[in-house]
Amino acid sequence: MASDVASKRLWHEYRLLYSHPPEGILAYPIDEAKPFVWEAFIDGPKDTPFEGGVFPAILDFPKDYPLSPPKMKFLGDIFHPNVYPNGEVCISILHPPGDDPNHYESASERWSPIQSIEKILISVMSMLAEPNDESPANVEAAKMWRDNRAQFEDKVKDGIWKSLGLEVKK
Amino acid sequence: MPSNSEVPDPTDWVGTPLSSLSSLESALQCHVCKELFTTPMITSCSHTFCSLCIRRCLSQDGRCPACRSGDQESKLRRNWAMEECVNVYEKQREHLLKIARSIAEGTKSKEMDDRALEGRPSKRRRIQQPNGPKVVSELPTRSTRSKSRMALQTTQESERQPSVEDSEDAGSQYSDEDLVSMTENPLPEPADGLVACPMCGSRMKEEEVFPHLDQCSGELRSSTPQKDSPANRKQSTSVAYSVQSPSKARQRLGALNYSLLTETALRKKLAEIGIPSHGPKALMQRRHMEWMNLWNASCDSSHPHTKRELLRELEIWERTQGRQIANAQGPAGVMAKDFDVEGWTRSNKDDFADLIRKARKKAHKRGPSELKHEGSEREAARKLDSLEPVADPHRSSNGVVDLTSPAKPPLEQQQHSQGSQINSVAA
Repeated sequence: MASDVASKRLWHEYRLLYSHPPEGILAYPIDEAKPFVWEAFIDGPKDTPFEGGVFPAILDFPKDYPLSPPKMKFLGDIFHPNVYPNGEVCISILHPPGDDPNHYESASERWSPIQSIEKILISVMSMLAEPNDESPANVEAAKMWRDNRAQFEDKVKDGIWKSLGLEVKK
Repeated sequence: MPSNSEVPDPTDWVGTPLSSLSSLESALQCHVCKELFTTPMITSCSHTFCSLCIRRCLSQDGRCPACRSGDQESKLRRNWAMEECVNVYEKQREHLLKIARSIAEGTKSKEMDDRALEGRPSKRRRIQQPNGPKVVSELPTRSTRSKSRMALQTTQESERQPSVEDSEDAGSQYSDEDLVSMTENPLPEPADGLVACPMCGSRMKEEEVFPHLDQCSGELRSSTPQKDSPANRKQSTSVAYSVQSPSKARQRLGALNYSLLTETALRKKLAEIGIPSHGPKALMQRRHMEWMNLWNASCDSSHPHTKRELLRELEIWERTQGRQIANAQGPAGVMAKDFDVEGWTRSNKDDFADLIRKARKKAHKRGPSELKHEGSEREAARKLDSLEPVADPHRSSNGVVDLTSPAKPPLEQQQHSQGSQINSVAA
């Protein structure tokens, strides 16, 4: 195991997530020898259009973690106001407190070294349940979510069915 | 499964009877590195972190990571009480964990025995009885008690009383033998088949105990820990209240105003301190910051590292983060953050190709003259080489002899001396 701070800290987080996994969340380094790339699976939260889906994502950690936050990218198609069409997640906890590109987040919501992978994934899970349409990463999704909720939900469900390899039911 | 169990972690306690120690250990951890506090420092907003962790955080964005209120490194204070807690806990941890694990294994195997017992009652019980006398139900315990009482009456009554009392309690009050060993005897008994003298604690064969008791002075032997002897107490005087000698404290490094320093001046500064001074300014700046954090954290520590150890840690930083900064330098320094390099390259591909073609044509035209040009360059380099001895005395007169950094190209050394002149003017 590498002796640098970041790998050690990631190791501790791995131990904790392994022994106390939060409900609906699975996360681990893809290769234990390379602790800076993690795979995560998030269950769609209950009573939301995302229910029943399982969303794989990649977490990419910088070498100066935990001073800087990781990057998170969903691997499958996910139609959500705060997820870029390429899968990148736009959420305040993943933004360093220094730069605020959108000028709407309070510093307390943003990344700090005392945050953790677990907290990121829990925040992302609640983001799925409650999109933030103030700074949409996916404008189309944000518009549809605001104006035509039923259509939005249908589209999300279609995406989930597709990702599970099932026929889309009409 | 995370396979590396050498790194202590609160999850080590999970699944043992002492699982509540997991939260104790978490409380003794730094929230930044998730390890037990090393040289804990308290911020002006009363949050505690490892010295190195909080220094790194503050040098990055000047805020407390917990509450985000602004703070300065100079306002950090030692948290001696916390340090002592961690030290004491760390010393006991391995021992406690061993006990907790052995108990966990004991109860597990017992559970398995019990389950097997339910399955095949008659056969199992027969095996159980000879080797597990303490686990059997109350009735046999009573019979042994009366036996031991008879034996007691025939021998020295008064002296043996306490030890018999103990074993009686073990049989009747606690059905769980592990609980007994937990409450009365925190150290596991060595399985050497010997018995401890109830007076002095030295171990001997069972039949030797009675003759020994006749002469036993009652003094505790060294084999048992003398927890309350005054000598021991003196040794473990608290770190928190012992006087620290300020005389041997090393000088802390002050922050530099990087924006006021030229690249060469900064390079010289790094060489002065004795750390690597290569790379672009941004890298040197970060390296100096890291060195300052390492150095000052070591100054805080009650067991400071040697400079060589610190240099090794800086090397680790260089390998992991420093390299990244060096690589990130190129385009990021000039272009805006969201500049689409690929898109720009694509849209201007034709122009670039055209320029390259033109440049090649030119190069072909003056093919032979190029050789001559190269020769003159070499000549210039030789001239610069001859200048080197002139630059050197200047440096030694400054009292700076740089042995750590590799030999530099002569041009850079000239810049060095220039930089120092600028510096002295500024001072």
